[in-house]
Amino acid sequence: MSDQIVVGIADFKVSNGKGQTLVTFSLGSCIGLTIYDPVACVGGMIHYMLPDSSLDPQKAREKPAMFADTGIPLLFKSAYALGLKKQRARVVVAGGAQILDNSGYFNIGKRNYTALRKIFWRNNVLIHAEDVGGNVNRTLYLDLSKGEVRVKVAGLGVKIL
Amino acid sequence: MKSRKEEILRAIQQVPPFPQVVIKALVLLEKPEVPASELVEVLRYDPVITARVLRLCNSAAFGLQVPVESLQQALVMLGNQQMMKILAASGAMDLLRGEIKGYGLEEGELWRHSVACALMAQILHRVAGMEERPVVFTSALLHDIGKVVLNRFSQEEYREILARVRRHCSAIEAEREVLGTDHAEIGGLLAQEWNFPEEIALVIQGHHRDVVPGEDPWILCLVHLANILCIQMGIGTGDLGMASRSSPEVVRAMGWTSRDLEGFLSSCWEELQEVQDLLELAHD
Repeated sequence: MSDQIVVGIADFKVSNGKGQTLVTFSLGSCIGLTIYDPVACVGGMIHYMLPDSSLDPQKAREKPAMFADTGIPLLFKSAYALGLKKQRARVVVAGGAQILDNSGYFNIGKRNYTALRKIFWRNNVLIHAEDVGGNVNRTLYLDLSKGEVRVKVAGLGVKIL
Repeated sequence: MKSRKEEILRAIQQVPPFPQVVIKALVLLEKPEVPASELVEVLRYDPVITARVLRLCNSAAFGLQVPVESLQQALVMLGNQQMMKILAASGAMDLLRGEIKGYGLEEGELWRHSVACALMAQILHRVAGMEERPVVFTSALLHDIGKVVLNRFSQEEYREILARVRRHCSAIEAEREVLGTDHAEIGGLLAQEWNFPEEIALVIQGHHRDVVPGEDPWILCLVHLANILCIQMGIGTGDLGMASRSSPEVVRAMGWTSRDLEGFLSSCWEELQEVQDLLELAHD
């Protein structure tokens, strides 16, 4: 069994510890993003809640991983510091689910995903695999030994991304 | 052969009762001027609850600067309203803190969801400029109590419930179709069984309904919304929580936007960080 490092809501972790697995539980409308460099064996994971830090700039300073626009750059920078190279990084996205709603008021999951796409488009980052949307709750794992990403959906089992 | 629902109704009787001294104390504190001695008199028959109430009074969640050593002192310093919330949390903790397998909730998750929902319901009342009565906290804290009763049954019928949800049924509709009842209805019955005020039973029973502002009381509308927001945040969402329907009418009637809702999520998350000790107390 590898060591499990839990990434909480509005939190991120980076590591080069072989034998470790990063995991985040219960991604509802939130997004879980993993990056992994197979050469440097460096990986990272963020679990952000909201798309846009202009909602509360002070909170974004205290807890940047709460928002896509402050958290995602921080995840990448922290991983660069451990030797991850952007051109080698494998990027996987999960979460951004919706409740059953047609009104649009509750589409936080979709807005979280759109924010990520915009940031990636501006910075030339490609998504290698994703499991987003739907009305499901997900758990996301990144195994730092080989960079394998797994997503668990209640009732649908575990899928390798 | 007895129907499934009858079997479930019988199971209500087997749930460990909500501590009656807490309900008595809650009723007592509804009166604005209550001598602390009366509260002590009610609680003295339950030393476990008394000890827990004191611990909660001293937890960061309720923000006392000076540690309190007696109920008298706590009531003077906190006031009736805070004391009522502490009592509700002390009474509900044992019931809500366990694993609820039938809903995919690990140990402590339903408790965390219940506390988050209570905080969120208070935030929504505050932003709406409505009075934050203790009953808002209490009814939101207890809204999912029916899951404790239905746990065993939904575990047995899990595959069937899941199959229906996958065919775009909401989780509560699937529950109702398969079990003949749902956790909101059963929770409401449980609250009546425990002699809770009618308002609390009504909120518990209606929290998944398509609520209508203007017709339904505001407390019900806002607890409904608080629950949906906490589910989205991933707190106590469980296996099927995302398959919940919301009532956009509440948001519309308040004139809130999607961005306002995002602000509520962020505030609730922050308040939840401040009550970590309340959440961890459940692991003792």
